[in-house]
Order: sequence, then structure tokens, then C-alpha cells
Amino acid sequence: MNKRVSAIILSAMMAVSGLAYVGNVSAEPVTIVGTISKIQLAPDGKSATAILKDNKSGASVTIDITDNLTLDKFKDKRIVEGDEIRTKFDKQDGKNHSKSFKKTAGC
Amino acid sequence: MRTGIFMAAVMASMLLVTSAQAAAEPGAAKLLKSTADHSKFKELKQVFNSGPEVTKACLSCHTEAAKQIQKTEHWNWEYKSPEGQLLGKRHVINNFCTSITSNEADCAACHIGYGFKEDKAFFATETNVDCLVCHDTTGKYKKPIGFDGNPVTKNTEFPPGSGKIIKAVDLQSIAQHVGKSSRTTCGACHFYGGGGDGVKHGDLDSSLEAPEKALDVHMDADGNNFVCDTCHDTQGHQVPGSRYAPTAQDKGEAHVRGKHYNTSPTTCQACHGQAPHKKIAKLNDHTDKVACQTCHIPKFARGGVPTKMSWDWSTSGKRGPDGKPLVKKNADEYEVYNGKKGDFVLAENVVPQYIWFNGKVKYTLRGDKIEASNQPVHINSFEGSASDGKSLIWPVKVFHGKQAYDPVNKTLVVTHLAGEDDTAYWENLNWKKAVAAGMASVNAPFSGKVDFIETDSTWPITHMVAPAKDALHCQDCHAANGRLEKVPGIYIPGRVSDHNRLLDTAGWAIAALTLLGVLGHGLGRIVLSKRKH
Repeated sequence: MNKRVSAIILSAMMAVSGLAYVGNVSAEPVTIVGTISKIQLAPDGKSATAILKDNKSGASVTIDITDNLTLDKFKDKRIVEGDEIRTKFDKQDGKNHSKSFKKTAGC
Repeated sequence: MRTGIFMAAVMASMLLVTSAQAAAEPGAAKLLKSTADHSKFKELKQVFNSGPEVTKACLSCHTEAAKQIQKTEHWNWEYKSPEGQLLGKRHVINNFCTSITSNEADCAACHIGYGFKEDKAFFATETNVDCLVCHDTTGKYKKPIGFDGNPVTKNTEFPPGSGKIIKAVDLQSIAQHVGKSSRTTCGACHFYGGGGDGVKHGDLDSSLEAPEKALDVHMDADGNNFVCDTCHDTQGHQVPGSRYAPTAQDKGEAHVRGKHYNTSPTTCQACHGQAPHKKIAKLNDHTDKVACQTCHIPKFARGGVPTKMSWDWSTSGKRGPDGKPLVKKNADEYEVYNGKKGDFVLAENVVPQYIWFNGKVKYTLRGDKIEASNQPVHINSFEGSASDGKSLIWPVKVFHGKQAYDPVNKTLVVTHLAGEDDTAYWENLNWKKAVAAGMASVNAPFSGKVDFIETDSTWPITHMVAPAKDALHCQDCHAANGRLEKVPGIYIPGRVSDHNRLLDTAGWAIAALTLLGVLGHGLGRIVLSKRKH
């Protein structure tokens, strides 16, 4: 009996720790490289969404942007539709929150 | 009743005045910091069809600017070291894309001129100076790769037949909005050294465009907000602080505004002086041996952009099923293999290596004999020692390469990589053709044979200064296998290499015996005192 209880407790602990690990993995930021198909600035200018076509999967991904540097680049047309972007974002509450949103560059 | 009407009138008039002031404030906020609004200059109210036309307009007022530029390393890409080596981008061979020579059409995208050519007439022509590349404030000025350092003024398909359109830049608008250089303008080239974001230096990448305090306490966009020339204090277009002429040790005092100094304004000491630690004065005892950067830049490539740590050209040449150069990417979508370039290793949050450095750097140049038996070949060697009195312990990035060389003539080679012609390596993936073309471009001998040799290059780490709380602590170095474990010629308490096991054992034995003696003596006293009573 004692052995069975111990086994159940051990299994439960392993399952919990496994779930905790999965939780950490899902919190890792996601990076994609893709071309902007649409930029939409909020009327107050304090946020924007950009739709990227992921080079790898071909899927359209919507990114929420709130950092001033990138918003200024949208406003000044320094980043425009058609630009290739490398973005890093966190998935939270069903949205993709940008941590970094930069044009790709190099030779 | 009358009083009420009077009060209402007074309040209404006060409101009107307040709202008039509020209306005036946005206008006041837009007041330029500069004393000149370039959009009002008639010289700049014209259509510019080329970069030199803009420069001609600039020079009509800024008469000495081009003459100043023509004396700088930024313009000449050339520097003669005190040891007599002719250095600068036009002369050195590195272990990234190896050489700008024969690849000018691409590399000149980062030259501060228009239509880069290796001839005296190019360097002597004032209108070839590109003012906009440093003074653009719009962020819209671009010099695409493949155009010899020229901007594109009409939408252009490039490469021809590719269907890719390079968008034209509006030179008139950009010229009308010039201003001081910024992290963005300097970073347009310096963040992308080595062919991409963060590739070369490790402590310079696009994360410094608007960094947080944790990344760089000086450039913190919401705090000190230093721009590059806050430290690289530029006079007459001469930018101090070139890595070709580094200052390893600065014994000068902190600079006071208005006073002239012969010491570099770019060093930490130029602001912080020789005894910068106020709270823990003991730390000031380290400044004669340890560069500030050693403790205050605990890691480089901290801004989320990886830096290249190695590059193996010998594996290049593979093509994918579609016949195009094969490309492999890592989980973060960065290339780790490209058929045009070979294998790369990238890294973030890198712990530097630590060496003695006295400011002298010796380069292996084209024509210098190299031996396969003596690998890795040092592309540059940082000199210094514990005993020369001029060296400090510096943090560096050591970049490893494996690159083409001539095994018969035993020299590094110039490789023609970029271009639309059949000899360019990135077109044909043929090393012999590419090296033959590269070496012919500099009239250097080439045996016709190509092999690969391991190389390394050293890069000082001096940007990405962390806040004091994130600096290294005592135990990071004063411990077994600490940061400075491998630094020779100096006694650092706590290091494995500064331990003598016999001495340690004897020391601990003496300490234990002393403790034992004290305890025994104390015990004896207690016992004796009890007997007396």
C-alpha cells in the first residue's frame, strides 16, 4: 500500500514538474523572419499591428507593437509594407507582443 | 448681479488667455535646437539627381567640411601605424568577408563617399564626400549594396532581371533635414560591420539604437542617452577612438569642458578620472592593472542580437536541390550555413576573453609569409604584458576563422566575392577564379592554388557598459577558475594558478593549530579557574 501511495505521489510530482517545464518553454520568445503585408497604426499612435508573412511557413502572423522606436519608424515610413523584418515576440493572451522588430540587413 | 457678470467676464478672459497659451505651446515645442532650418535654404530647394549634387550644395555654405573629411580615416580608409604598418580597410585582410579590395561595389555602401574608386582623383574630389550618410536625421537615407556607395535616386531593379526593386531616396527632403549624427547614423555602418547586424564587434549592434539601461548605462535611451560623439568627441570631422589607434591605458585626469587635453576623450578616465569608485575605495587599487571595461562589461552581445564567433569558409560551395547556394538557419532564423560563405557559429551573452593590452596591434597583411604549421594565423595581435608598465587587462572578443590562402606563395589572399561578373565567388562559387581576380586587382602574385588556413582576430570590448550593480564582483576573478584565471604574469589571490598546494596545506595547518592552541588555552583557563574556586 505504502509503495503504491509513494508511486502515485512521485508520478504526480513528475507530472507537475513536467508541466512547469512546458510552461517555461511556451514563455520563450518566438522569432520569425518575414515580409510585412500590412501595418495598422492605432489612432492615438501609441500602438500598431503588423501582419508578416513568415518566410519559413508562409503563414500570416499578426504582431502587436508598442515600443516607441518601432512606432516612430512606422510613422516616418522608415518601415513600410514590403520590408523584410526579423521580429522576436512573446505569445500572451492570444496575441503576439513584439520584443524586437527590425529590418533584416546584411551582405 | 453686476459683480457676478464681472466675475464671469474675468474668468472667461482668463480661460481665453490660458487656451491661447496652450495653443502657442505646441509651436514652442517645435522650436529647433539648431540655429539653422535647412528646409529654408534655397540651395536645398532643388531636385537632386545624385549625391555629389547635394554635397555641392552643402559645400556652398560649409566651405571647409570636405577638406576636413578628406583628412580622416573615415574617408581614406587608411591609417599608418606608429610601427609603420599601412592599415585601414583598403589594406588589411580580415577573417570575415576578408577584403574590401575588388569588392568595392558592395563594401562602399559603408564608405562616406559617392562612387568609391581606388584612385587619387576619387579621394581628391570634394563633391565625392557624402554628407548625408552621417547627417541624415530622417532615417530614410540608404546606400544599397552594389552601387559603389551611391544612393539610388530612381526606383531600380537590382540585380538586373531579379524583379527586386530598390526604392529611390528623396535627396531633397533628406538634405533639408540634416542635423547632428546619431546612434542611428553611426550605427548604419558600425552596427553592421562584418556583413550583418552585430556580426563583427560583439559590442556594437542594432540593439544600441535605443538601448535600455541594463544594456548600456551611458546610451540608455530613457536616461543618459549618450550618442556616439558624446564620447567620440569630434572636432573638425576628426572622430577619435579608432580601433586602429586604440588607447589601452589612460593616466590622464578627467576632462573639464572648455579645457584642452592631449589625452583621448573616448576613454572611461576622460570622464571618470583615475579613482572612480567612491563607495568601495579598494576597487581603485585595481585601476592600474585592470581596464574599466573588464569589470563593467561582464558580457557582450547582450541586446538580443547574436554576434559571429567563427566563420569557416572552407565548407562553402554547397548548393541546394534548386541549384542555389544552400542556406541553413538556426531556431532563431539566423543563417548558420550559407553556400556562398560557409559555416558560422553565433552567440549571445558572451563572456569575453581577457588579455594584457598596451595599445599596440600588429597585423598580418597581404604579402606577409604565413605557415600552415603555425595555425591559427593571427590577423591582428594585441601586444602587452604584465611587466611593460603600459598594459591593462582588457576584455576582448576573439573571432576564429578558416579562410582561403595561397599555399605556394604562403600568403593571405584577396578574394573577389561580390559583383555581377563570372569571377565573383558569390556568383560562381569557384575559389580559383575568385582569388585570381582578387589578387590581380592588387597586382599581387597568385600561384593558382587555394587552400584554407585557420586564423583569429581580436576585437576590444568597450561598448555595452552595464550598470554598476551588474558589474563583476570580487569572486568573479578572485576564485578558482575565475574570469582572469588564464591571465599571466600577475598574482591574483584566489586563482588556482596562484595556489601552491604545499603552501596552502601549511597555511591551513598553521591556522588549525593556532585555533586548537587558542581553544586548548581557553579550556585550560576555564578548568583552572573552576579548581581555584
